[in-house]
Amino acid sequence: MSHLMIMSLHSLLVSTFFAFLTRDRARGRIRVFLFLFVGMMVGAMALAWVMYPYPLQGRQ
Amino acid sequence: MATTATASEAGREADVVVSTRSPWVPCLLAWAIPGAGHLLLRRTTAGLVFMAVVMTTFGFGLALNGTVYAMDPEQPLSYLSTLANAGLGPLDAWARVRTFGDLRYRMPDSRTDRVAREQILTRVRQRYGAATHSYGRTFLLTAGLMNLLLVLDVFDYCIGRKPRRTPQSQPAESSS
Repeated sequence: MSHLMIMSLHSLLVSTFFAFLTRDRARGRIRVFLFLFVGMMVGAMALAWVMYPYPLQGRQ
Repeated sequence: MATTATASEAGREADVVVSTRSPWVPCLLAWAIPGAGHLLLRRTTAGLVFMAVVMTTFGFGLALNGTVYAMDPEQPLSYLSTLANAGLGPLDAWARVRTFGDLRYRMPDSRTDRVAREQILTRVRQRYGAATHSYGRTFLLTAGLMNLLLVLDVFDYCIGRKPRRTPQSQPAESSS
């Protein structure tokens, strides 16, 4: 499995969990799910983009 | 003995069913089997989804060569990690035997039992070679923390802190 796939899977599971934990109705659950899932994916991508110029230790 | 009261409030508030019962059995069940506490409280859909999500997270944690933590006085944060892992109940025991070879919650002290400590660390380090080891650890921690939240959620339902809305009512969306 690629790193991206594992991250997506983790985001999917966590988003589903909190959607059902915090909301009782389908519409609210879908909204929370999308908010969390998109937020985690976009946030991770943004963080990766910010860290891109910084090399891994020992790879220089 | 369960008691139920229905409170109807004016305005946009819907009928709210407040059920109170002893939280011990549901919480213990929720800890032992992810989602079972909600099933006992007749929150069937949520219970089944919680069960599937937590079990899947745990399964992927093991499949990705994840290991659980044991309390280590030399690493104070390991206490919190062990608590998070232990949130999974019997599933954590299984992962613990798989990681350490026995049901271990505490690492041997390096000053008094150095040999046993090295044996355990050698066994754990064998999994470090897998590229997905860190992800597996994270999945196992996440599964444990999810289940701890489920236990707290069941507790809130039992003491009436988190009321259930009746199916007939359709109030504005709210966190319940």
